[in-house]
Amino acid sequence: MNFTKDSRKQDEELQVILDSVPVLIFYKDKNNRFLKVNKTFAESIGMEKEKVEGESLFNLFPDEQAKLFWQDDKRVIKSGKPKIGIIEQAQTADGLRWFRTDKIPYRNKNGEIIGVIGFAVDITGHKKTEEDLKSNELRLKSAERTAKVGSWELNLLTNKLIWSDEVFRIFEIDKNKFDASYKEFLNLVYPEDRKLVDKAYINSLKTKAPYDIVHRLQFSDGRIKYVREICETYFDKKNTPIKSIGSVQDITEQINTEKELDNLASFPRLNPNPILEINMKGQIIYANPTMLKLFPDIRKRGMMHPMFLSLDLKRIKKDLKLVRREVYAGGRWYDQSIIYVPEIGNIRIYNIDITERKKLEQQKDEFIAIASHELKTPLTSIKAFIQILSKWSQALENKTIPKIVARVDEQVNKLTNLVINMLDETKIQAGQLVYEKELFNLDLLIKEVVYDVCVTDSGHKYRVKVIGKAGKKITGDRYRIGQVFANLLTNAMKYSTPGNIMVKITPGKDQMIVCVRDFGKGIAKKELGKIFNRYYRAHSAKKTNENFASLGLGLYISAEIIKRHGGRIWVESELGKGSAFYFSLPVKLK
Amino acid sequence: MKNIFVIDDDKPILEVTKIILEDYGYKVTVLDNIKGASKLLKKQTPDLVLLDISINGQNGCDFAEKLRTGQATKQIPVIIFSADNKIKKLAQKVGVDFLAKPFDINDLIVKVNKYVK
Repeated sequence: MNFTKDSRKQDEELQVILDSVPVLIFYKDKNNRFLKVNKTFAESIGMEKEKVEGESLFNLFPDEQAKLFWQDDKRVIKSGKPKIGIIEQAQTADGLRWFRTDKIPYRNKNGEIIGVIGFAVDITGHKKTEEDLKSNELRLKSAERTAKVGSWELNLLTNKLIWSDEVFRIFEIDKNKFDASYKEFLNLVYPEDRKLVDKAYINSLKTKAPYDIVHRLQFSDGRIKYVREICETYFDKKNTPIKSIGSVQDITEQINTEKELDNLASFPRLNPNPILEINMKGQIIYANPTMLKLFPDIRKRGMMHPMFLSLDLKRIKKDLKLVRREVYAGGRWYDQSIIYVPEIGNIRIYNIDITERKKLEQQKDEFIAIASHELKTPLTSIKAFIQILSKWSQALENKTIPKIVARVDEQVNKLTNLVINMLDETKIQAGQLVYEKELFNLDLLIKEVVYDVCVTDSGHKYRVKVIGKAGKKITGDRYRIGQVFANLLTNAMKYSTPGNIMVKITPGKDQMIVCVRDFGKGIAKKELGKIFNRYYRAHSAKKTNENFASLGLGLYISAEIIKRHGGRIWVESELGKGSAFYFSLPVKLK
Repeated sequence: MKNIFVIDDDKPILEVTKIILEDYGYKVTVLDNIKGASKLLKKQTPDLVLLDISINGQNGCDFAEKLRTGQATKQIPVIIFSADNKIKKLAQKVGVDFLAKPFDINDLIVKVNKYVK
């Protein structure tokens, strides 16, 4: 009795143990019916133990799952061999979960197989960790690939080297054919860089500090890749190096982009001409090395520097036009091209040293000044000789002589005018043309000049008609204004066929306008903008005969004189119909 | 007969001025340097002096000023002639007349007549 009692007690205790282990335990017969299950099993499918016992597998699980379970059961029953470590999913009260199941044959006392015993452990948590790891690994791989960063690990105890897929890809080595090896790696390193790589690693072992270097790889076809290597070595308590972990990044694209940018940046950097960029506040944003070399104080002096003399930033921004001008700085002349760059909102100033050109120009001006002055001296006596000759020849019987003398006088006057123009031009260039202000009668001046010019018209081929009157005196340089009017009148005769020339004076409260109109061949539209330029000779002027001597200075000098008087000079012309030259003069000089 | 001194270092100018002025009935003495002119001015007092602005590198204006301030010469009218219009102002400053080169003989005669008619 005691034995029975003990044996029952033992059974009960065993049952308690079986029920409380976190393993699903079950016996099944050959007809897929559950003979016995522990509490863990019953609870997992949300049923009571007693209700499970005697129930068919197919009544407890979805068909698909039951079929798989039964397949394994049959195999174990048939073969008599256990099946260990089946990883499978099963429907539980908590939903679909992962199990690791061991199945062994269930034998009776005679050793005959009567069913199957199973132990299933819930591995859902484990499985999830594993999946997470796997997806992390995939993510890492994809990240490595995108960033072109490979990682490697060298076990210094076993000398085993592991490369990530990306390392193989960067090194262009077939993962399936070759193992990771330091030798393969070193073979790829650009010969000149091998020392650097070796040194960096050895040094890092010594100092126990990580290293970060950029070096090149060279492939058999000659291609070069730039890689960045970062490596750190780990040590044990005895300071023995255990492993090195590193990353290798393909930075060829970045390097190439940098090289390209650097190449572009070298244009202003290596430009032999000084270049500047300033913002709208007048602060210097960029000065190229040439600029800094020539003007080391440019940043310090800022807008006070002669480079920026009377620079109207707002106007340049508003006009959006390239501004050209000449400045004198540091003892040299510069041609400045100034432009506002809307994309960056700053102003750029490009300078070219034109000192040599300026010097040549000056030399030329000086030469003309001296030459014309020297020419004037003999002209003075020639002119005087001719005039006395002219006077005396009137008394001669031979009437051809006075005519010839008059012709010579005419030509000498032309020559004199050319020389005077040359001198005036050099004076304008040197800023030496002096203006003598006086109050004078414009009407009288016009009358005098018309008379003087008409006297030179030996054949009396032109008739000059004066319309209008200024009516009051004006202030200015009488001689110079007379020169302008004479120039316009002479031009009208030069460039038109014999006939009428009209002079019109339009008086105003603040200004007088004088117009000289001819009815000649006119000036082509494309030439109109240039005829006031220095040395410019209208196409028609070049073709005219030698009598119309011209250096392209008359209108230039006239324009300068009128400008200096605060007036305006302009032209209206139509081919075949003639030209009208106007100039305006303020009544009172400022 | 009115006596006119013409001082210039350009021989042809001296020649032609002499011819013109003599043609108009003046007595003309030509001088091509200031030293000689100074010497002669101590002996003679002309009715007019025509003076070039630059005589062998010497400044005619300075000489004119000397004449204007000299006790014996300050009564003599002076006309400076020059190819340079700027001299006009300088001449005014010194208090002498001015004639631009190249000149028209009518202008020369008008100017001369103004002082020695």
